[in-house]
Amino acid sequence: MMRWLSLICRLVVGGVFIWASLDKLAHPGEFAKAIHHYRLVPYALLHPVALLLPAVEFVAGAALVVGWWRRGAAILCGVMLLVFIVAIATALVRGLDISCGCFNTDGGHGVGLDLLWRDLLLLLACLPPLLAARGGPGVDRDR
Amino acid sequence: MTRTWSRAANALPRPPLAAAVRQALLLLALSAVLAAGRWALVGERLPLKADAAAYELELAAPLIEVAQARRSYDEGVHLFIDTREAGPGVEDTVPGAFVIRPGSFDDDMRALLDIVVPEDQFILFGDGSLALANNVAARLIQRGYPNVELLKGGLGAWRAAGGPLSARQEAGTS
Repeated sequence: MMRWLSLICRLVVGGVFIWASLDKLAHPGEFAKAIHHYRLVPYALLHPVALLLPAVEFVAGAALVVGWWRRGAAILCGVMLLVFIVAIATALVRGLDISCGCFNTDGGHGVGLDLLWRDLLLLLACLPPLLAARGGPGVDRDR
Repeated sequence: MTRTWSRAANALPRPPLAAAVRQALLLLALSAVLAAGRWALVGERLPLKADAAAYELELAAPLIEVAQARRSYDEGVHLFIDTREAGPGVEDTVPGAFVIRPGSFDDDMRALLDIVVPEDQFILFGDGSLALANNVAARLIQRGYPNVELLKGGLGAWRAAGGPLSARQEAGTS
């Protein structure tokens, strides 16, 4: 049972992260603007973060989908989701009217409570691949 | 002795969380390699250091690199607009450039009403900080002149690139 729950969570979280990374990988300049709108990242780190974050999303998402180092990939996705949750929460507290920059760097969904719930659900979905003794079909030996 | 100790350490069960953290760090390293490769080899190469002024200003118009601006100047398609206020060090400008300054925008525009039309394409430049040119760009767009670009680096970049210069007059063209 846990094995299949882990597989479903891997595919959902991994698929979401791969999808989210594609537009950012193609348009790092636009993604840097989206990050800047949160007013959390200093200018010295703005472009390196805009270049690195989509790559981490893609690699971690792909690792989850194929079941390669699923525990490490689940940790990476979980850490990224925690960062996203904190960023969205602080944007809401500060009353920022900005687009989230989650999937589409050209405008996209504005930050709101619905995004917090979505990211919390995805964070919970990282737990089965991390904790399950068997992670479902994949390339890892402990599947 | 060392080999015996190493064999014994390998025989111990590895804590699952430590192994997962090690996997995460290796995936992070792989991501850094992917990001560096994508930055070096594919498409748009984002400068590693962000230009704070460009982000703070929320630019009203797109930037144009000085090389492209020089090609436009040679083709004679664009009108060049000098947005710098008069003062020390403001003696030369792009030949043929009109002067429209934030502090006297209405007066400067009134002097040019018979010369410029909404279809004209403008390249605005200032002292390099983009603040002056961006101010004038926003107001030009608001007045119905939508084809506006901002010269990245201002007149300093133009001068450094070997662009032609002439003495600036305080009203009209130079």
